Amino acid sequence: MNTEGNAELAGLPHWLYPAGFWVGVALLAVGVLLPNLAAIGVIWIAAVPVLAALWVALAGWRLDRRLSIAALLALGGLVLVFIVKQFI
Amino acid sequence: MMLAVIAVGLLAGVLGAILGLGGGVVVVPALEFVLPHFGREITIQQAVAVSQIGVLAVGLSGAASYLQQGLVRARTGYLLSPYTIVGGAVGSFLGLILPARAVATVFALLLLYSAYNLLRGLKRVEVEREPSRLVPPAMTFAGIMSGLLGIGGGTVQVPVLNLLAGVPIRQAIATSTFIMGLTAVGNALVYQAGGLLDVKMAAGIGLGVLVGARMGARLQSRIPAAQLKLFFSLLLIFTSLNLLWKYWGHA
Repeated sequence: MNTEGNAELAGLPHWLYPAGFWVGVALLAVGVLLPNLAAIGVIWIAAVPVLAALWVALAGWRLDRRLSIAALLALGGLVLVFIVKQFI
Repeated sequence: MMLAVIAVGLLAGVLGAILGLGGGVVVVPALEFVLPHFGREITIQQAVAVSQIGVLAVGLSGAASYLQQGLVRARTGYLLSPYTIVGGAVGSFLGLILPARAVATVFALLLLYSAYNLLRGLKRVEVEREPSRLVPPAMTFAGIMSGLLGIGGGTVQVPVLNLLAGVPIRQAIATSTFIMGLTAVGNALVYQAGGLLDVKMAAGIGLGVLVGARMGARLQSRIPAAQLKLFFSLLLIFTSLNLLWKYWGHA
């Protein structure tokens, strides 16, 4: 990984996505076998990128303020969608 | 029927890993044409809604791999994702209100464009460049397409990141995959609010895509990509014509 790559990734936990992947496989498999629990797996795989952005926004605040603000902007976009969807 | 849904997800995951084109481009038409054989009719908007969860799975699987390789430009991705998220919400809302025939027509055009790109190869730039002022509107457009058609980013977002934002091609692909997760979350929220998201079917597609993406990464070196590209391009053209026939043939 180059230096710029490291700077771009400051604060983003490397384990989060691999862990999110395997937990997602397990929860979705449970959801396929027990359809009443299907929503849990779907919510989980949607939660992983949101958790990652939240982590970066909080953990990166001191390490890399620009990255942290960028992650907050992304989360702000999702909050906006969440508010607008209430009116659908 | 659930086994067929998982198989569609598997196919999308495998093709996505090998060709970089497998999310909604596979899931939406496959659900449209396969499910009626199991006695389940599905509108193209319902298929697009389910495909958003497939895109989430592609994003999760791809980001896990690309982050390990150090290819993701997280800051660039987070800075651009508000545009794709807002664009995605607009596209998803259009998906809720536009007639199925209009969505199917745009989707058929996308399939033809994807086939053309597969056969010709995308124009790509390997070196870092200054970003263009057109990046924000272009990313918003990429978001609209992802929301309206249930596609990830390979078709629209990667060329924008590479040719307009000046991100080298491998990092553009990785960053696009990273962004598509957040965009798909917003899109799925809108389709769920519109009552079009079948969560049980979405779980089957999500599982198939996650497993398929892993299988595809292992199969990548064993499958001749050139022949697969040609076969898949012809399949895309055939599917596009079928889709147009389904929605316009009886007009």
